[in-house]
Order: sequence, then C-alpha cells, then structure tokens
Amino acid sequence: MAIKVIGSARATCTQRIIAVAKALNVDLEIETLDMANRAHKSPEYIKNYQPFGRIPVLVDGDFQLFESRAICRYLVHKYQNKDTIQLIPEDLQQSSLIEQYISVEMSEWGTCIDKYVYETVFKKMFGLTPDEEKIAELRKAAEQVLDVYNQMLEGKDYLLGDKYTLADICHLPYGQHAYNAGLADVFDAPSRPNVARWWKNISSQPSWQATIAN
Amino acid sequence: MVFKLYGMGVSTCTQKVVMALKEKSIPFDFININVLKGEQKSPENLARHPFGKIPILEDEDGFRIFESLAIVRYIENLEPNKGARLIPADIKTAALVEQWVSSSVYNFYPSAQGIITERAIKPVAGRPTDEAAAVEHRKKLVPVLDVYDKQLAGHDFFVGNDFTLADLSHLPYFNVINRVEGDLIKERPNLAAWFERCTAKSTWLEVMGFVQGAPKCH
Repeated sequence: MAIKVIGSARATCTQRIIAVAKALNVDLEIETLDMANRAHKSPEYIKNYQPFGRIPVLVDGDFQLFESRAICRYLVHKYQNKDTIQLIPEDLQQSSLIEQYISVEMSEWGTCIDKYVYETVFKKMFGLTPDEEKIAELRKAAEQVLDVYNQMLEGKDYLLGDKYTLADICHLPYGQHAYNAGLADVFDAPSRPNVARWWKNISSQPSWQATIAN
Repeated sequence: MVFKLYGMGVSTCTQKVVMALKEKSIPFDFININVLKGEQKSPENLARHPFGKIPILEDEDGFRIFESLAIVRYIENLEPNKGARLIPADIKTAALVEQWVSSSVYNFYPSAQGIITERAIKPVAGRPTDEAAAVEHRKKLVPVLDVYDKQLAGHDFFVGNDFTLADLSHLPYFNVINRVEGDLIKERPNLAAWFERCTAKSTWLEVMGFVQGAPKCH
C-alpha cells in the first residue's frame, strides 16, 4: 500500500515531501484537500489529522505525522539505503551540518523568501492585495540573506559540498516560487556567483523538475 | 574532547545546548558573547557564524556548528546512550519528536519569543514594552498552548513518557514565560504538570546553575 500524503501537489510544503519521495523513488499517493473550501480548518480534520489545521499530513498505515520536514526525515530514514541517493549521509558531522542548514532555511531563508512568496504569490491566490512596500523590504532582506548564502556556498556545488541532500531540497519549494515571482535577478546576480551556481544545480535536479511538472 | 560553546547565559537557545551537554555529561568551555552589547556581530563572531548569531559549538579539531537545534542533534548523536535519549532510536517515535520540534518553530516560537521580548528582554535592556504587541502575541499563543495541553494529557512528555528533543526545544521558553505570564501555564493542568516535571530534572537545575554563574550581560 502506498504511503498517503494529505495536502496539495501544488502547495510548497507538500512539494518538499514529493521532492524527497521522487529522489528516493518512493511512490506517494497525494490526497488533495479542498483548501479553497477550508477543508483544512474543518473540526473533523483538526481532530483527526492536524491540531493546528494545516497541511500536509502523512498517513502510513496506522501511523500519522505532520510537519513537512519531519515527514521528509521519516521518508529518508525509512527508504534510504545503499542503493538510493544519500539525502542524509551517515557521517555524524555531515548529517549535523544538514540539520544546521535546515534550521537556517527555517529561520533566515524563511523570514524573507517565504514571506516574499506570501506577499507576491499567495496573497493573489487568496484574493488579497500584495503590499508593494513590504515586497520592496522583503526583496532587500532576501538580498542580504543571499549575500550570506553566497559566503556559505563558496567552493561548493551544494550546501554540503559535492552532494545534493535534504538541506538543498528544503530550500526548493519557496525558492522556486520566489525565483519565478521576481527574485531571479537576486538569485542570479553576478555579485553572488555561488548562489547562482547552487540554485542552478538544485533546481535542475530531475526529481525536482518532476515535482513541479504537475 | 573539550568543546567550546559560544553563547550567553540568559539566551534560550544557549540554554537548549547547555542542557543537552549536561544530559550527555560532556564538558565544555563557555565563551560569553554579549548580545545586548552587539558582540555577536563582531568580526571574530561573524567568522564563526556567517549570520552573526549565537550559540555556536566548536571542537578541538575545528569542526564548528551553529543553530541550537542542529547543535543539540549533533550532541545527541555523539552520545546517544548517555542521559536522556533526545531522539529515540525507533524511526516512528523519532518522527513524532521531529513533528513537535518543527511545530515549535512555526507554531510556538514566534509568539512565545514575542512575549519574551516584550516582557523579559526589553525591561532589562531599558527599552519600553510595546503593550499592544505583547497582547497580540499572547492572543496568538493561547490556541497553541491549548493544543499542547491536549497533547500532554495522559503521558509525561510531548512524545510518550520520556524526555526528548520535543520537550527540550520548548523548555527554556516556557521557563521565561512562567516568570512573566505564568498564568498561561498554570491554567492548563497538563502543561503545568509537564513544566513541573521538566524543571525538576537535575540537568535543568544544572542549566539554571550555569545561568547563575555565567557573566552578567546587563
């Protein structure tokens, strides 16, 4: 029986999970939740699946799990083996640095890139008006954060060096939206050659391209 | 192996790392970085942490790691069988721990940190509290604490009956909230019992001892 993820193939946090599953060649069944009709806020969904009324939720037999990064780690621990890509390497220092970059993604990247996507993309989806002043501020914040990423990526093709890992995948869903919604020149700026190289390397991964194809 | 920990005694993120080091009985040298004086942005600290923040852990061979939750996972994996098993060996139990850790970052920290900034940090930094902001943070935190109170019913800690990273990732914040808006904890019996259980742990008492002995920052 395939593992099921309740969410939406077009939602950022669901895409994070799909990207991991595709990299590991794991079949996932996506059960699309009717977010437009606020199915994620129904008392039944909150009681049975997600106490905060959010997506995605993983259902693996009688085991349930929410929070996309926790779900990603679970899929890696369950399905990664010597024949698959190593999204979390066994080496203790390497795997700890993956956690460092996932935390950086949540705290530094998230506070500008995710918010930029909310203002420029999601607000339009929800029928709200983007705040231009905020967009300009978030763009400036993204420039500063990507300056630091440029330092962290010096001499590297991926965050961990020469291999594509879970740390890179975690950046893709919001990064892709931001790139498409007006920050391409910030990602590709000549002053940030390491960011430009990294972004090209990770966003061109076949498993990511397959994730956003549908 | 003696580790160097760069941080600040009253910093909640530093306290998470110190508790993990105490759980695993790992000795460390502490280097105080006074955030209230902006020392985290010094060229020396920027060389250690590109975003100019604390805490940072360094070993004798030059391996360096930042971000408190990543540091704690590193410490856990150095000595998984000593002290509390912060990330359980069973992958499903470990996944549930990660679920509540991630949840803390998105559902809990923003408003908890907001209350801490307004009610604990600003008063000692000599800045005025923004009452409206403090009230707004409290309003957002209440439904999260209601979920926690339900989650903590019937067992001792966030995931089952053992203290894990899911508890550790919340504890230093609740410790400050208990001081400034303690009713938020007291009014929720399961959360209050959890808080009692966590703060009675000998390793948490060691953290409090460490905070007392750390250089004063204000």
